[in-house]
Amino acid sequence: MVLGKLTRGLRPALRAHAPLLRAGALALVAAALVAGTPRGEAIPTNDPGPFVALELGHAGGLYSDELPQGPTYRLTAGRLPQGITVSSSGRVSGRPSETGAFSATFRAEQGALSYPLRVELTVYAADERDLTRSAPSFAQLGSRTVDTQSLTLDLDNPFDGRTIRTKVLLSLPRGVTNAPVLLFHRGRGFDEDSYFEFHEHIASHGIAVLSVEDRYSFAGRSFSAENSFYDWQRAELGMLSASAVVERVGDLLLDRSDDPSDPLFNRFDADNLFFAGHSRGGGAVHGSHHRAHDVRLKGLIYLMAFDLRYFSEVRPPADSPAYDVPTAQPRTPSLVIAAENDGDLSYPIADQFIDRATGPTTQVTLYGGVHNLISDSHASEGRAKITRHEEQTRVADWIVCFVKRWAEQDTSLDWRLYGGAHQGSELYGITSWRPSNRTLVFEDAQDSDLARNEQGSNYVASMRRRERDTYPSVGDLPSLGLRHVVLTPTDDVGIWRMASDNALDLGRHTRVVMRLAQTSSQGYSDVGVWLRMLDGSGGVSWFRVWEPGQGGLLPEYTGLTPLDRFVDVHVDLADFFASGSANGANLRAARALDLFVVDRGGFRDSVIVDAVRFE
Amino acid sequence: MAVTTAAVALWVAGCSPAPEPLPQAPADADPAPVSSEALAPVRTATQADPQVLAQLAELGLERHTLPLDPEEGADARRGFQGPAPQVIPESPIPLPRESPRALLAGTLAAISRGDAAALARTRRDPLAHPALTEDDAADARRGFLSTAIRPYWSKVRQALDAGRVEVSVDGDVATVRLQTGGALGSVRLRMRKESDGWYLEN
Repeated sequence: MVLGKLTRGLRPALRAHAPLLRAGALALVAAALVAGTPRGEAIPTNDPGPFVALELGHAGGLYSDELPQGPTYRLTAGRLPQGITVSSSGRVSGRPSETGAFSATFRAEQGALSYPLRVELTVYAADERDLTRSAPSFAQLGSRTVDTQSLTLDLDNPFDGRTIRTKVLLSLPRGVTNAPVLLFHRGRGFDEDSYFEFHEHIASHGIAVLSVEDRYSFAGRSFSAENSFYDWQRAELGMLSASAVVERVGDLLLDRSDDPSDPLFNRFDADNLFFAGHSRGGGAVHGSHHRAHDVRLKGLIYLMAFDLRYFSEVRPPADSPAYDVPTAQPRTPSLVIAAENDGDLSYPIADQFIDRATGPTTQVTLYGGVHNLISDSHASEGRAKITRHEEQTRVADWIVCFVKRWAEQDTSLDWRLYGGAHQGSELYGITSWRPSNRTLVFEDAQDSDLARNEQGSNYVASMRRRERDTYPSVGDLPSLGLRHVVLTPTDDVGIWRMASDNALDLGRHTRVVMRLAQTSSQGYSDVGVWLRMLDGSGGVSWFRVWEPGQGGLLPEYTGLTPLDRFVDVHVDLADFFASGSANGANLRAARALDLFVVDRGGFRDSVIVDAVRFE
Repeated sequence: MAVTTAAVALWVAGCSPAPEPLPQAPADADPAPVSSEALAPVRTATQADPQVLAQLAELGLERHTLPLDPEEGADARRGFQGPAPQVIPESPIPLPRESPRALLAGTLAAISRGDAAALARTRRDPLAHPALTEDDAADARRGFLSTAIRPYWSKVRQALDAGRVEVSVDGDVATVRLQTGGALGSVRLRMRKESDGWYLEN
């Protein structure tokens, strides 16, 4: 099916890469490619269309979201929950009256273009009692036997028009038709077969893994790249090239899966296409994230990945010859995995994808992990405190969890990915962002007004409060301009008050959520964290987040990690308590949330806070 | 192209599910977060663990108050960021700044001796920043001395010691490129020249 190539890969890729192709001799390539593109072709029926994860909804709550603006829409398959309607311009609104994960396909039409658009809308009960409090694990091998197969493909690299030859190593779950597809790009210094055991683990759970060699974009294990300019001089171009190569490989293999005469017929599910990459391959994922709708991706997986925003050449305004990779990306679900002790892409290179994430995003910091142990044989380059087997199985566990969630609409995995199942974990630091229609942000430190939060005034007592980038910023690690709230106690008890100008109705919220980090080398051993909620009528409620020796929602210091990376804290509003004779705070008229930092050691270490919100 | 036409014809002929009419969107707007005072209160009702209550009392947290409204706390309103950071002493060992290479060597030496004040001065020009503060020192610890960032500087040191370094100077701007290998391949440090010598640029 040649048509798939034209629509799924080449034509969108040409659009996206146009700024690159403007420059110099490459413009000739662009002209040739454009001239060779058939005009007036329609989208084939095997094109699944872009995937849009709509914001989370809650039964009975007013709901509003939008499909990508421009086309007109009409429903062609599936359905959304009762009570939700979609206007022809793409406005999604109403009050959902049933719960679950709903999927629908719309026909989008804009001028001569007509294509399908897939959406998913998950609705929970208002009190989220259906947020399943179980955390299924995929750390053990799955039940499927895995077959491997190596292919050699010749393809046009849409990034620069070069024809390249690449191997692709397929790890295929035996007996599974239309398996979800995980396209994978290796890191620099690795080959496509360097991750065999890790890929086998994923495939044993019914997921087809397609590992792309692509020695053109950057070097493999022998460190002999076919294009030394990309490999040595302009790493960001190599990563953008790699993203285009992977997209093209996806096109070619999905076409083969459509061909009844091909041995790969019906092996891959074009409706469930995921892209994962390690290291510079993760930079390629970042490149494709921007085009996730064009590429028909359902999810992206960043594995100890380069953040392309570090390169001035691809940050806005993104002058030629590269193209922009803005912070605002399509709301495609993503999973970010960082190794705490990465000795190659050292902190914080791979750690800032979660900041200002747009779609459903989970960031996993693998405590004690390093860059190289994800492979089958590379020696550890950093201070590994876990074994190769532990690193491979823990990463595979998260990837399988993520792919199953979005491929099978398995909302029983939401608590793991977005609901705080792993808070306090000694294995992982987890932080997530899951846009909901009732998310009420209290403070995210992104405005330039220290005195104000999103709802009212900020006050502090016995502490210093700053809003600033807390990531190291030297050399190739420039600030990305992502600010956090830094609280440094000046006495034994410091308070930050987030006041609201008006009474906030929190009656329809279930949790207060925030990201926390700290600057001591011994975790939260010497610091306590408490929350206090106040209404305007004397009602006061408390919650002890953490006290050394008493435990709570933060991880216990064990010596494995300084616990200086962000972790989420989810506090159920029903768990706040009143003290003494005072009434508990009226959640329908909340006026302030106080965060107490209790400095028990007198070290005056800072606590870092971000994304304080009610969910 | 013939296949394309056939595919379109099939779709037009109704192989895709028939479009369904779209109901109208409701007219009401997003809910305001502000509560009506007339609503019955919803209070947190959890019974506190006696041990937690005892700890709350022991810490005296309930004694700590702050205003709810700006007019209620004119003094406190100035306190949205707390006291100014304290000034810290300069390092007794000044950084060499006569060349980009000298600054880099001096920076690595300061990392070795854990000298946060000297490291703060790698970027802070005394003319623009006459006094160093505890915030500057905290930035320096994060950028040079923290456990997380040490692998980065170890790579820089190894490349410098092995001579895998190129320095290019263009007027008052210099770029030091070190071949570190691995996924990074190389790192670049940018420097700027001030009246008294070279400084690291962010």
